[in-house]
Amino acid sequence: MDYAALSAEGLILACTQTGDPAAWEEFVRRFHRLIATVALRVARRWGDFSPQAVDDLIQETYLKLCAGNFRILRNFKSQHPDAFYGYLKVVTANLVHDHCKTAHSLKRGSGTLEVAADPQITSEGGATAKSSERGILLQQIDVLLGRLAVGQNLERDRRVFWLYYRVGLTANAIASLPAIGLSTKGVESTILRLTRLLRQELAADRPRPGGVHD
Amino acid sequence: MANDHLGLQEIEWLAESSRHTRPAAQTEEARLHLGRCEFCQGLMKMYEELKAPGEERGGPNCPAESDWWYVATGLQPESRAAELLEHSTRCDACALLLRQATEDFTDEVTEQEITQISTLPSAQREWQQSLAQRLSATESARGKQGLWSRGLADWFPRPRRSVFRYAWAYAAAAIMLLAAGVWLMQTRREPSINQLIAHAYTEQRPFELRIADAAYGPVRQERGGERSALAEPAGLLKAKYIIKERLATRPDDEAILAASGRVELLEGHYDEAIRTFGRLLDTHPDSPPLLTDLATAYCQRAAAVDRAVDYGQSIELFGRVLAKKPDDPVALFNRAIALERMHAYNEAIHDWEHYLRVDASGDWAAEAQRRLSELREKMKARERP
Repeated sequence: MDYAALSAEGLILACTQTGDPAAWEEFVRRFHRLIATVALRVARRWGDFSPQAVDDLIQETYLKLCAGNFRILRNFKSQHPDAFYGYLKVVTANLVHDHCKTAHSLKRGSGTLEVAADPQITSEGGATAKSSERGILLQQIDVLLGRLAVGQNLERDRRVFWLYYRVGLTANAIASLPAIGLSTKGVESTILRLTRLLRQELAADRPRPGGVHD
Repeated sequence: MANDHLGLQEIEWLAESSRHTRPAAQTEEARLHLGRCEFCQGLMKMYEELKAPGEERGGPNCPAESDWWYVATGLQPESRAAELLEHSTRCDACALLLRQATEDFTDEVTEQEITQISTLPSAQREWQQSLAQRLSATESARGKQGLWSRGLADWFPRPRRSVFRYAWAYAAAAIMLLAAGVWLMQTRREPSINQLIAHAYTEQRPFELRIADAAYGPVRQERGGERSALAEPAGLLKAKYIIKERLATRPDDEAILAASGRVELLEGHYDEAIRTFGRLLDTHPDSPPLLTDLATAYCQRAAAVDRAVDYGQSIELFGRVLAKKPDDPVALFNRAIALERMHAYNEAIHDWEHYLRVDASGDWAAEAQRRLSELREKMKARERP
């Protein structure tokens, strides 16, 4: 049987319902790279990404997929054609994250598990004058955007603008978010259009050349 | 560019020139434009101000980190995703988590990542094949939850590194299992393939004609094209696996080739089935089972592609079987149907009557009787003025 021709959902069914090693071989062939890539990236964030560690995590991921009589695989409900790929990414990230968090807690010597603060999102301290100034600017811009982003896609365009400037996503990353529903070109032109409009608006409000705020 | 302002990408290149590597000429052209365009200078300043990092501090109402994974992969319902994205534009801590999620889940793989992944032991085909074998073997204990889980855990013991430490022990166990499996296959496989195929036929009888040794089953589908793989009975999948495995080591095994022809027939791959049986008949030109299978494949192809000449071929081949074995029930049954399809009703009635003398009771006989009655009705209708 040609398992390579099956959809992800079909292949999962074949793996969980038949004892055919060829089905599993195709499963591993098709999804191994995805699992390995996500495992590597998440492990890298935690600083433990030796080949041995990553391989262990990959193996753990397969174990998790098969645990409880394939509970994770059987629970999967397809919402769109590529849904399983996203699902598998989340399963892998979850496993690696939990593993690294636990290892991190233990390594810190307490010997007891604690909820580890994500090392990447620690606070820098209280609000500074600079940040409150920035906050005012952002508020100002958001009010202006409310005026400038018009039409049916007002909310989406405003969100795209902030995802780019404030969240720091690339146009490509924004386009990859299914909730946005735009191509990379569409994202780029939305950002540029709003940026230009804003610039004109701000320049009109504050005639000083080149400045966007005082 | 003289008439146009800078594009978003060009602003990015210039603002983050240390991170972006672009052709010098392009960057230089953008830089020249920036030097003389006040509007673009303003855009650049705005870019730098807006992109300045904010504070990264999560609040009590911030979503869980995993929520951002669902947003990035499109698994979050649309309304909730929009709500979360909105939150990310107002919360730097969550913005960071969303950024990380999109980076971790992007389909774009860097050269460095490719190198790292391809050098992992798990990237090796042997590792993956071995894993697939273990997963499928464990799966056979499906339904015995406790045993199943324990068995799998035994294959992936903790601490995980012990998998590699005791690799030799697992390898030895695997070899012993494999040897036992091979021995079992050698002693039991051939009859079981045909049984699996016959059982699959009965379970989901895909066409009206019979195949050898199959018990009765109602016709569930009659189609000439390909069938959904997932609609196939599990026995057929198993048979295919065994066939594939055996043919890999013994590609000329005629019994297995004949079985593979039968699978092709059941799957509606009539051209392939005809080729397979044809090749086997070259060395065994008078084999009744092969002639029956080939005749059945021709009859099915005739119906599938509306090719009357195949019916003729089929009837001729069934005739050769019946010349050697006049009371062969499968050949009689199948030829009667081929004749019906050719509208040779008298000849078909003759075969059904013959069949019912050979097989007078049971489900197959009941079907033969029904068909005979229908044909007689048709003949009566023809004779009416």
